[in-house]
Amino acid sequence: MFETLTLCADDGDAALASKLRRTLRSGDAPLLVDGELVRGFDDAEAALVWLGLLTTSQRLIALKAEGPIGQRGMALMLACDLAFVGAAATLDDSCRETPGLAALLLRRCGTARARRMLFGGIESLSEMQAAGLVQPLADLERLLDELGGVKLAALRRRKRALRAAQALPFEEALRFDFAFLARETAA
Amino acid sequence: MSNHAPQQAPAAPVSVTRHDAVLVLTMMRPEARNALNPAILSALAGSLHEAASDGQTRVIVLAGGADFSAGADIDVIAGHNPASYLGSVTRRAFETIRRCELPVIAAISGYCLGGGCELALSCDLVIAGDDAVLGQPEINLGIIPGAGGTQLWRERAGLGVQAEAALLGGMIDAFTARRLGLVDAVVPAEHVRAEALARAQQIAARAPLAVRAAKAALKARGQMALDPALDHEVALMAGLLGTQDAREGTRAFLEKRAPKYEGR
Repeated sequence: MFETLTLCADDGDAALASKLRRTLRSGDAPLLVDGELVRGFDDAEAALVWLGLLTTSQRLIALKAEGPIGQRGMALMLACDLAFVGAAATLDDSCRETPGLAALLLRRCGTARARRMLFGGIESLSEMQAAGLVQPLADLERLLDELGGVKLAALRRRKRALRAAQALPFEEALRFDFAFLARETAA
Repeated sequence: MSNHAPQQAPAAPVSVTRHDAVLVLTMMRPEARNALNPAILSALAGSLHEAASDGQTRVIVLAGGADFSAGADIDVIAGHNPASYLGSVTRRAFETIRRCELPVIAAISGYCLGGGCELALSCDLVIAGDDAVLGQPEINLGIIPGAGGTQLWRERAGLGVQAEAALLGGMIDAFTARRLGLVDAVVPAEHVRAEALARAQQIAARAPLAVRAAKAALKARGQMALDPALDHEVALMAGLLGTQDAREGTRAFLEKRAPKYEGR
């Protein structure tokens, strides 16, 4: 079900942006990002490009983390729709200085938790899990089972509705999602 | 017997469909992402001109397909010299579109760039599909927008947004355009035409003379300073008070029923 994009240790931000752009253009299936997550950023402009691609894509994008997570991993974890962490995953100390952290946290978990994480220190992965920011890796299997019965068009529609809900005034976001229903009813 | 293959009539550059009092004009050059050439612009200008006086049309929807329009046809631009551009069909067509007396709603999706963006922003309302991308990339070609792209963003979104569009030539997505006030609604791309048509039908159900007067009053602000524009609004309003539609509107309101407007 998932198409996989595996990050390598020598993938800089420009390489990641390029890989991600190519992959996102190539199909509709949900995308699973995995691989090396400990490195930091090396190119601010390229990093903004791949973060923009992740946060505006109409495809469901999940992250699988099974080892140490650095700044790039933290940004990926918060920018993807879902993040799954294995038992061996750990947060690197550098995570608290992740560029873009304030905006990513605010977008993902609201002001109160964003403040707590920015000023009270990054929580452990288990605390992030308790807050619903990440899920145990076992949940990925369950998700795969669930998504197996869902049409790609329906998943894409959910993702588009989510984007609309984040970006549009409430009533317009509702109207956006109901437009699909109106279209189905008319058909 | 002729050796020539039968010649097909060239496809119309713009398809025209009527939905009661709403006229939908659809640019039909999908193979070139609706790049604007003289044929499309002349057809649009001609249809708008006719619609304004056909006695049936009250609102116009301007649509593309998967892409609204990726901009001016580069070959056409490259073929102009300073003298020919000033008197070109392109320039005259944009003027006709901007001066249309009827409300025009743009239904944009996909690429809405350069001349396509100028066309959309010339309209009174802009409904965007969630895949729409807007921009004035002319500066990247060593030219500038030549049909309103240095002015029309400003009216909707302010000087900073205008300057950024004209000087940097970047692109923005539909949601950003909505936040900036550049478009008036964002809907699923496959629904954009239906939404524009629905809004057009809502406007078409209003008193026709009042709708035209409202459009004239709105346009006046771009052509005159605030005080004369307000005077113009008063004059338009006074003129409407003598119409049968105005009497019908107030009577229907008092009688708690839907008005029946006849455009008189």
